[in-house]
Amino acid sequence: MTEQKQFCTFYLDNHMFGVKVEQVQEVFRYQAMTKVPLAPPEVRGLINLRGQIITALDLRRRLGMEVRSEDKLPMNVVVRTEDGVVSLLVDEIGDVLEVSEDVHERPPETVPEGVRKLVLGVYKLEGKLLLILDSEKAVDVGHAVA
Amino acid sequence: MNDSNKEEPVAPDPTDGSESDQGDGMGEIVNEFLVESYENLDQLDQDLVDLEQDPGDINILSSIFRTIHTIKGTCGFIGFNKLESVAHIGENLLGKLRDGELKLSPARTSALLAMVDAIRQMLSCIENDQNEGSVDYSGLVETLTRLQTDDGAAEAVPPVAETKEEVAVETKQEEPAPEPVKPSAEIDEDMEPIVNEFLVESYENLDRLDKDLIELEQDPGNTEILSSIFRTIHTIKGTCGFIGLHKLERVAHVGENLLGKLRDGDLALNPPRTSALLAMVDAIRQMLDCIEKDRDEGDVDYSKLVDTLGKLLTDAGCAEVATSAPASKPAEEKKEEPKKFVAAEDKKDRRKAPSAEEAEHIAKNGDKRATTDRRKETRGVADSSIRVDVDILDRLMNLVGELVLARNQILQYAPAKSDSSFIATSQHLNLVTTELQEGVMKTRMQPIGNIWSKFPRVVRDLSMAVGKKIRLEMEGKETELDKTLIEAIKDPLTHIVRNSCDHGIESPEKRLENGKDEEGVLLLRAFHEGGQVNIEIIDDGGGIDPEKIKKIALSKNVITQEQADRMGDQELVNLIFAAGFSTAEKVTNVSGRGVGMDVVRTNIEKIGGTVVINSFPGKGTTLRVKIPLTLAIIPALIITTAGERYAIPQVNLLELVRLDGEEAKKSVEQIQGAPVYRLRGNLLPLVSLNDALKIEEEEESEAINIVVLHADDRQFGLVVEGISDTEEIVVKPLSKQLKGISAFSGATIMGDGKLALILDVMGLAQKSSVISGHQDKSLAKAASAQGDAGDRQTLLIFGLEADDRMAIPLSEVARLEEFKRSEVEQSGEQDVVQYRGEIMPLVYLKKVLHGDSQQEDSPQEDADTELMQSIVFTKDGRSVGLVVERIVDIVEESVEVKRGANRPGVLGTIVVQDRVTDLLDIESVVASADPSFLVDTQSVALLEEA
Repeated sequence: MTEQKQFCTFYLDNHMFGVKVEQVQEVFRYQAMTKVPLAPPEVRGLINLRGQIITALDLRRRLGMEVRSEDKLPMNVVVRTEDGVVSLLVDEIGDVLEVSEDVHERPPETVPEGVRKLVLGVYKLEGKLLLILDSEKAVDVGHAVA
Repeated sequence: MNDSNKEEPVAPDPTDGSESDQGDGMGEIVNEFLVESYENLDQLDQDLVDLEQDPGDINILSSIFRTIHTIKGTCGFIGFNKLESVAHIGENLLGKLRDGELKLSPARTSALLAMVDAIRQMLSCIENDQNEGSVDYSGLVETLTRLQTDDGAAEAVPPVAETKEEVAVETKQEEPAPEPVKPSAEIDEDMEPIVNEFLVESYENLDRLDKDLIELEQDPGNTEILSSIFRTIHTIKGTCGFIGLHKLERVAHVGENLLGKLRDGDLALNPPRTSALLAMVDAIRQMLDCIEKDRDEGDVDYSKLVDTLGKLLTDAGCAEVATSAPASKPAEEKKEEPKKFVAAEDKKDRRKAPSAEEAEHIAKNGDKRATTDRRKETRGVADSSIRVDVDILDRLMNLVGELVLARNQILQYAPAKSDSSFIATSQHLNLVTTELQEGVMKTRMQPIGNIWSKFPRVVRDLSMAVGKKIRLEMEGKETELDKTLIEAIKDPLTHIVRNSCDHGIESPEKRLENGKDEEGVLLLRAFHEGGQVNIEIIDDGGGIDPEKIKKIALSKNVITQEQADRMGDQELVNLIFAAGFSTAEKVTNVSGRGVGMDVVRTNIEKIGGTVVINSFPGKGTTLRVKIPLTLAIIPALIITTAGERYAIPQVNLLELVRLDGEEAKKSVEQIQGAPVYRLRGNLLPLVSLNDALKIEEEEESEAINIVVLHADDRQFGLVVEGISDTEEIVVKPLSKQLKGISAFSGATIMGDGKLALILDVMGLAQKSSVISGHQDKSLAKAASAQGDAGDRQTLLIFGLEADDRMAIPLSEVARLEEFKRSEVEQSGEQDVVQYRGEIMPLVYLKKVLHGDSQQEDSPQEDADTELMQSIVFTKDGRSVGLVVERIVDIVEESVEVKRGANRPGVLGTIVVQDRVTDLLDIESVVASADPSFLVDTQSVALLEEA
């Protein structure tokens, strides 16, 4: 019996990504954000989540993908990390998937650097690939901004 | 009582079987010991310094003796032998001093202080590494030993167990006889806090003792429990001896003897012994009750109990006690009490009556009057204080922060609703939240005296080291501030105090030369003002010589010659806050270790405080530190720019300037592209918030709003698009991704649930390089130039007619508001406006003061758009708007009434900015225009309640 892992999945530019279910605090619709001037470009703004102020990161920008068109509103995936709770802005939310460890592989070297750095591994599912996001690294932005 | 205790289910001993020194149970004891000892040591420092001033004070000596004794005892029990040996020697010396065998000399004081340091050092080693560290204290021990052989009576260090007994005997024998301390009578007023503390501690201990004793009976071989019991009794005994409760001490002492033997394995625990010990615990508790109510041990005779305990010391005696029905012994004893007290009660002696009640209570005599009296009594000491984990308080504080936000949100919706019960509820919520916020904040408050208590020691050591005479005075020790802030200002304050001693106060010779008292005075003063805590460190030393500062600054390349030439005295003095600056001509071991005043300032500013220095050459220096009461909730000005709101902490705010239309274009001038504004003759550099935040400007607006801020003693004007309101905001930290942005210090949630970023004024100023230049700080200069002539006040200047000037103190002004004429409505005879969800009456000052009413209906054509300037005056939650013609300025002036009042509504005439200005009597004006305003607040409050 191989180990089964659960991932909360979401889509970015037609790619399926996942983060461990345990790391996800909640998922919610687009909410107005407060812009933060001078912030790194990945930071889209601040969100008031029931009295808690959380930073929203645009995952597309973080992964170096094409910028989301203005008319599409992103969804929030709130993840708990060592640096606190952060909201990841994604295109769409997928299902919670249970996958077994034996379809796991490391990301091929040919994957663009920007993505590969933040992907822990790839699960080969039927008909599609599930990229596992390294959420700790993904939220690690903005050290040297003025 | 004993029987019922025995039947209680006993929790299995968690520490059972753990033989190692640092088992979990032990860890807790060690921690407790550390906390207690640290507290004691701080007290000790102060006591020793006090003692030096007054070597004959037997009270202080006893207090010191007791502290060291407690530390020593606990060390022995926990197994810190090195620490114990140091404390022991110190105790011996102290004992001799106390008994008058030796005199206190500076050498002895220094040695004792050195001992305190050594103990502290070992304690911190214990805290960090769980052992005493490898430092060798034999030199100190030797010194201490030598110091007590004045008369050649050197003592060898006796083994641990003996020491305790010996000391115990010593205390017992000597204390009642030769000492002038009150012999077991009522307790001194000064002792109150100590006694209360003792009571709380002892009650806690006794509860544990009960449990321990019963556990011990089940498991008589458990030395750990025995040691714990021994220690508890020992502590109680020691404290009693010190406070002068000799009866209690005697009971505890025999108990201790018995326990000591049990612990050392000389005797075995048997039921008679357990019963006797439990009886002793009961007796102690009974006496504590008496002490709590009466400050007296009560008149109960415990000699039988003492007797029994004494007999139990030998196996033979034990057998004897056992045959004479041991369990009933203590009970019998108590039965005698009521008889005695009937007589006592008859005498109506205040002191004795409650003891009688107590006795009756114990004997279950059931006198109803006595029991009801008891119930009516205020909460006991043990019930009235409780130790709470700081983390819990922090959490509570956070929750209150959330509540404040929710409250703000509700309040914002409330005016929009017509449901009166909802409005009433929200108002109630408002009140309760405010009170809750205050209450929770209070739990975290600590008196500043907690950190000041170590300064006498610091000052003493320093003055000895540098050969000066310095007297430390303190005012406002009880001023409270948040615990986290107390911790944060501890080091900066210490540094300032050291600095004042080292650099501020001159040597005795120099002082005499300058015609001053040989002894310098360092005054620490703390007080609350305007929601902030002010701490002043005032010395009467030589002040700071600006020329000297200039020379040093030049030689250290802190400033250039060109800069130096342009700088005023105050600015030069401020240079001591510059990085890399130390005025010490020679590096002493006291200061000049590379940590300068710049660090002090940085640390104080980190917690939102400010530090200002005022030097009066030849007379002294005053350092004023202002810090907020708490960090979590701060008042802030909310401004808007590019559609987003930002909060500016009120501490940084000086004033607001609004420039309209033509004026705006005219008055902002450019120097090489850098905009400046002339604020009362001084150049104020302007920074556009949009530029600083790199926000694209939407369009040029008509008016310019300038928020005048100060950062690092410099002023600058922040140009913003709109200014909305001041509000209490809850500061939330920014996430790590945004920490690097120096322009923001945090974020907050506004009433409508949206977020606003909190501007970091320091960061902004640095970003816009406002504070790298040396701009004049006009206010400070003006203030220091004018000195302290008269009563300085900040005045709001306004006008009623074309050319007149009137003033009111700014402190009376709640806000300045503009209303359109169209907004004015009528309520009866009164003109009113809707203002912040309330109805605010308007008072036309011109009408009240000049009595001309014909003006009123003249401006009809542009009536709807014309703006009325009004000064909002608030009292007891009600506001009134004083309509004036124009607002002129805000100035800080010394108010000196040149001419008395010549007409109603005017307090007098003063000269402000070289112009004659009438001082408005705001209360009488308000009262004459709206008599109900000042009187009627209570009935209004009632209406609101309903």
